[in-house]
Amino acid sequence: MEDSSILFKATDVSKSYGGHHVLKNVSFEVKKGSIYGLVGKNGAGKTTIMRIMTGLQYPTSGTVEYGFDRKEIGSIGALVETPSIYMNKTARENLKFQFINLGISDDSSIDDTLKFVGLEGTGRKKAAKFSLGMRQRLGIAMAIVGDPKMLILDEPINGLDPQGIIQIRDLLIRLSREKNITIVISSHILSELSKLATDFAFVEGGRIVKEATAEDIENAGEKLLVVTTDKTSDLLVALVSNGYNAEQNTNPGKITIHGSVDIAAIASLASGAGCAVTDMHNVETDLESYFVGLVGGETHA
Amino acid sequence: MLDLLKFEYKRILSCKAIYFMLAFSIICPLTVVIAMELISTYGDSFGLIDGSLSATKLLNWFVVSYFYSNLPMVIALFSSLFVGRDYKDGFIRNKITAGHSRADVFFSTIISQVSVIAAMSVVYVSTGFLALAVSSFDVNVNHGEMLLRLLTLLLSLIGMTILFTALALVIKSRAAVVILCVVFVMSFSLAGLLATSYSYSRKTGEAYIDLCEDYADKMKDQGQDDYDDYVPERKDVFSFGWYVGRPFYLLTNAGLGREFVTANISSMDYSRTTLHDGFVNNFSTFFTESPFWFDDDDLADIDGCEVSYKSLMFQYNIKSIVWSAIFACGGYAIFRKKDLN
Repeated sequence: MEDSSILFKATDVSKSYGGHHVLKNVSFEVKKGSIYGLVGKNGAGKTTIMRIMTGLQYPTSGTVEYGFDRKEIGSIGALVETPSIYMNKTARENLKFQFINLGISDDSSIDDTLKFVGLEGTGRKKAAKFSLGMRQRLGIAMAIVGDPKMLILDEPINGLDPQGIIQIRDLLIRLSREKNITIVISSHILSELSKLATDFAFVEGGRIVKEATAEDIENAGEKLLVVTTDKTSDLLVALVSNGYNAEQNTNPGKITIHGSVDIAAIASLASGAGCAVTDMHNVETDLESYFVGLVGGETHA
Repeated sequence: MLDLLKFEYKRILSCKAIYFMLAFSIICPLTVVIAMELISTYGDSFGLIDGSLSATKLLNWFVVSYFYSNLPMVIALFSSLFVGRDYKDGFIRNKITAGHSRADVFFSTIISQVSVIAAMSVVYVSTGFLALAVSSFDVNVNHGEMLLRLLTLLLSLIGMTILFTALALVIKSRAAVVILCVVFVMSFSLAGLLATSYSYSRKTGEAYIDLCEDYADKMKDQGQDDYDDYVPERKDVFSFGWYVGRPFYLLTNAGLGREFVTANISSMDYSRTTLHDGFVNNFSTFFTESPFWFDDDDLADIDGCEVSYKSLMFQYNIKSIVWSAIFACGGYAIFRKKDLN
């Protein structure tokens, strides 16, 4: 690949099953070291993109290029849809098989890998007896064996409890920062994805409708300040008379102020108007609202 | 490829089914030998053993026919379930994602399965012969010819193994693969009936009709006219079944088990290294009401009626190799382009 900062490049990739077009001329690039989030509704084509990236499926037309030797064993780690694990084996046995699969003879790091994903205490328990979250973690553990150059994760936090989600999020951030592993990830939980990804591609109807960086999304919408007070009408009058673009929030006891404002000035104004302020917080445009603004529909991707 | 083979063998050794299969390969031939030992000891009084059959002949027949009739079902279940699990649990996906080529994934699976089945077959046959050796019977391998016959059967089993493995690698549904493989094995023996019933060539069939006509003429000269009515008609000898069965017999190995058994594979007499082909055997089966009675020498006069074991085994070996190549290449052609989920 010409540009050494690019790890993966898809150019005009299309995929059809029979007469059904799942992907239509999809083009995108994944930068080295980035966490690339794929956002889209069910059936938008995210999983197909990931399958093509891993080599499990071939594009009907178009090309995919890698910024590394794809034939090098272990260059890609993946968890696409369901974890690829032997249900009749323990977590340790599964990892042992993955080490052999990758041609890694020294499997002394199995314990570290298990610890990394929080499965160190599973002992002789077979994967079939694992909870969905534990299987997801094992699937991630399998994917990260051998420090792949690119990690492809399709809905990796599916089925995880809140603590598990936090652990996986931290784990992925560590992988990205400490090992400089490029991660391509999709998730329905957009709030989580927004905490992780540095770049986003919005997939709709088999096309990438928009690519954006996390910064782009952050700057895309206006900032709002939500103020909670005991006298909303008094404060609202004071704010408007002082030139603020403020309005009554849909929630009782709250006022929304549009734009970037000085919180100290608002507090002082409220105090002058005899209003007790119990809470003030900024609301920024998030991934969900960005996504909905882009493709419409429900907030859940 | 080496890593994948290492992977496959480790997985095979960690699989409980392989130990059941190993136990089966030991217990089954042992049971046959022990049963025959008991029958030979106590069975005479019940007329269980035909005095004209030597025990060695009988046991050799048992080893071979049981070997060929039992193992395919075990192989079908093992290969489809074992490889099917790799598909179901996603390890085939894992291998491809890791960067292994599809050729390496496909052929490492085929090689490992074939080697396991070959090893199991060797265990099966060796156990049978060892048991024979320590029994009151003896092992007569007819100067190694018997071993060559077993090799022919083994080549055929390897062809089946490649078919089952290839199916398990290209069909996602594990249950569908198991059903397909089991149905294949069950229908294979039925197909063998069709193949061997119509194994005779046109030339052989014509020669047989001529022989019957000559026989009827001879009987007519002796004043017995009614033999004419029993001369088989061409439309019966070359029926629709023949037009289907003959090419099926020529192209496939379906007739192997039945042909070896019906042709008295246990006949280890040094003087007899040829067998009568299916036409003769099946004629005597289907036309038992016929008043014609031909001995071996009469039938030997029929062109193409006698086929040497050597020639027959060579044909089956070639067919096994060709079919193995077709299954492997065909399976790979599909697997190479297949979209995996």
